Amino acid sequence: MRPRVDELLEAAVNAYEDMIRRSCDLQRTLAQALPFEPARSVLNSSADLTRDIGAVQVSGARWLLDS
Amino acid sequence: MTALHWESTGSGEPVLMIMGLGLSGGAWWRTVPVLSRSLRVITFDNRGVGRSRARFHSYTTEAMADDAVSVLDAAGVDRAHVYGFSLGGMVAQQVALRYPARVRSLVLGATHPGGPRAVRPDAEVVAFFRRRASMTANVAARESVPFNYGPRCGREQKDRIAEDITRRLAHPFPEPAYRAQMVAAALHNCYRRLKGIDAPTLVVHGRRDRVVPVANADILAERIPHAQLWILDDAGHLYSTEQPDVDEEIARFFREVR
Repeated sequence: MRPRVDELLEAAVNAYEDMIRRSCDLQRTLAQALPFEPARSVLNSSADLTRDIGAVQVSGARWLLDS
Repeated sequence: MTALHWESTGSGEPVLMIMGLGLSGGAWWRTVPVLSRSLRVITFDNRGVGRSRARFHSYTTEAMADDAVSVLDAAGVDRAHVYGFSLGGMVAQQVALRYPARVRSLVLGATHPGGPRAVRPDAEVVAFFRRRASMTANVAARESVPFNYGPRCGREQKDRIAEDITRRLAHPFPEPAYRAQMVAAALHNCYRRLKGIDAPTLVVHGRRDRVVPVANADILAERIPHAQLWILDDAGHLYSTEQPDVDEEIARFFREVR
């Protein structure tokens, strides 16, 4: 049976969310490995920003899917 | 620099408590003594509220969930029961979805799933929350009474309401933190993913809740696999003020989780 369009869109949104998560994890891992400031703080802040911008995008996309 | 204030009370299996909009961890003051008789209760002040400090506020429930899990890390807890109330319940949903291995069970109190399917409060409540940020803490606390409590509590338990307000005013919050949390609540959307929560879940809600209408509890219980639903007939939003026995029942739920 062919998947419905909204199921495909949901899978795409989930995949995008996973990608954001992996990007955040990578930035935090790199930050931990750095031995000096302010590079560590910059990377951690960048991870937070990636998470929050991604969260807004994903929330918006799911909002449209649910409408 | 972000510094989250947290406290641990009692011993036993750990329970992480996540408080709602603008309230500090101290707002669990009725619940902590009951749960800590048999459990280790961990409360904390959300970012920007109470004694927690942060350079940046949290504008999403995802960010607030990460903060909550960092409290578990600081407390040396791998896995905990999680009890979220109102906005804290939205954060608890995110914790269960983002960190399933850290959640032993879940209690969602007076909260909603977010997204367009969530049932919104009536226009009078919405208008109050829009005005709320520009009111003084004292005025806001008193004007929120008809929305936070059921009509019976408003008539018969004025002393308990006064106690709540006194406690709340002890930890006023800065307006920017409140606005950031309002944004987080508005953006919250877990509706589609609730079916992915596999922790044993109890949904608790007051039937007279005007802030988060009780229909949201039905949605949560229907979407989360094997969730239990407990509706408190006479209670409004702040149900533990109105029905003190609710905390003992929630403690029992945590103890009986296998």
